[in-house]
Amino acid sequence: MIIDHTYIEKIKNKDEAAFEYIYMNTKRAVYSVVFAIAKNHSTAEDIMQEVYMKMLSSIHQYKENTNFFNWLLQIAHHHAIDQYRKNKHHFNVDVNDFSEIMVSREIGPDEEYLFMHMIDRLDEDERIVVILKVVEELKHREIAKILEKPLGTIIWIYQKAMNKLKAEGGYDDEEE
Amino acid sequence: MMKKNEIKKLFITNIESHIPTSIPKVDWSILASNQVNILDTVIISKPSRSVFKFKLIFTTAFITVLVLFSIGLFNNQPIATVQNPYTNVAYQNTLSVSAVSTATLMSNYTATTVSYNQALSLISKLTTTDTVTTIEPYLGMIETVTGQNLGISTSNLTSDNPMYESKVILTTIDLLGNQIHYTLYFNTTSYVKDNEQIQFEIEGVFLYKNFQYDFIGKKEIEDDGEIITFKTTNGLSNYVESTYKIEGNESKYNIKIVENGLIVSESKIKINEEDGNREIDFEYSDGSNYGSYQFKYEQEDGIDLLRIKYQTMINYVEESGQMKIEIKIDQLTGMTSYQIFVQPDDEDEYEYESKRNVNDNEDDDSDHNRDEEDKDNDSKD
Repeated sequence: MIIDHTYIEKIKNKDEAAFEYIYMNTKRAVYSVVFAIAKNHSTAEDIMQEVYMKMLSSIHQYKENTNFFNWLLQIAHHHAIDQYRKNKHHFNVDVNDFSEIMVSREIGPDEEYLFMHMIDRLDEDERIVVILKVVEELKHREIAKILEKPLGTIIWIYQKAMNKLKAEGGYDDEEE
Repeated sequence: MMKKNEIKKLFITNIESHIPTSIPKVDWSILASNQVNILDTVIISKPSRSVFKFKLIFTTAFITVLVLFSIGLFNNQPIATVQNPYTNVAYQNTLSVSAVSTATLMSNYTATTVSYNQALSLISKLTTTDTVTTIEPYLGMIETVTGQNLGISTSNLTSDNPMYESKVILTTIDLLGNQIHYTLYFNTTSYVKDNEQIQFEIEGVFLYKNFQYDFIGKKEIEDDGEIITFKTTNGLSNYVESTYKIEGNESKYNIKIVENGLIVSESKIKINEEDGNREIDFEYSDGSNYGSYQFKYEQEDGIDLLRIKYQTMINYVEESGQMKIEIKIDQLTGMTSYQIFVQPDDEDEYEYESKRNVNDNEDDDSDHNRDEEDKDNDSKD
């Protein structure tokens, strides 16, 4: 995704509308990255807000002619990891904790439960790669740039994760 | 088992249903005042005595470093900085594909007792299936570069060879699901950054299938764009060279096999990647002979295979059709070969068996390499 440079200039001049535009166009990707690390929706919401504040406070450090979207996602990635390290014990959510699972209004508890189970089977890198690829529909090359990892490694991680998930989809039959 | 689409749907629905819809309130004044405070500290406050002391120490230290640096320069002592192009995401994949393809082709020399040229002519005389024999020497390369759609994984490790400053292990996967490792040890002999454009040269050795090859890799900027060349040699006048060039919107690898100073084969490969699927366009040209092959990795009834669409013009005969390549394992010896099913558009289907020169001599050390890679990746994470 490419954010027009004029919006970034406007943000520097405290333009609310420009911020709104950037937020609306990037929130899904930022949330995806943060959730992949936090594994918890309510924590992800909090961190997501902090990411945008961090972006605003550091906007003067953003280098022109570089990809703003990638820069923002890198901030999200680093900030979420920072928060994870600081609050490690709060991040590990028990997937059997029904109160955590029942936070969604649009999908049923069974799907939420299955989703959280699948998420729990993936490691941090796998979660980020799969969520960015599937939800945000980013190309492997773009994910590689955001995570600062080789393209081959990203493709490898994605395939490994998808194979795990495909197999994991049958866990209900095994466990029940 | 869940289908890929079902998984995707589940992920999208779940994530999207949790994304906050309201835009966060931005406290612009706090952000602005933070910046003003920083400026205030710099402009208004007077330097204290301790700041003055710090400045004095800093200046002295800076001058000392500068003097030592100058002495170093006059003594022609190079400053030891390790620049490893494999750590640069922009070139890593190209270098890895070049390295794996040249090494796999180069290993044909050590695997056959006859020369490459002799091997090619021998095959041509023995068979009439020119469409197949043309690509036969390249099947191992295509198999390893495709890597079951996973491509090539690159691990930068600390060099354990005192002769070389960098160590890289490239890992791919063959059609049987076995991991294949290529170990590179090298020194960066030149690294120049000019106006955001980087040129470099690396030199070292390549370990593959218990054989060692020399290699040179370099990136140059020319009038018509960037060129990355990678040359793997057995130390004699035989070498395989890959040249990666971006021409307009297209980027291709030109691969040249040279024996005793003579070019015995020239080909081009282009890797297309879409949604995790790799398709390799292979073009072969030899005087009046020409072949274009599109390779795709597929799974059929649980078997990993390569599917090919081809169009050739060999000995003035035009042919097109499809092929399917599977790996056949000899139960007694464990040796593997390519089982090629050819379906020409205008003729009957036929089968062809070809020697396979991938991974048969894989050393027992592969697990060790993998562990080392994992350990290194873990420590990075």
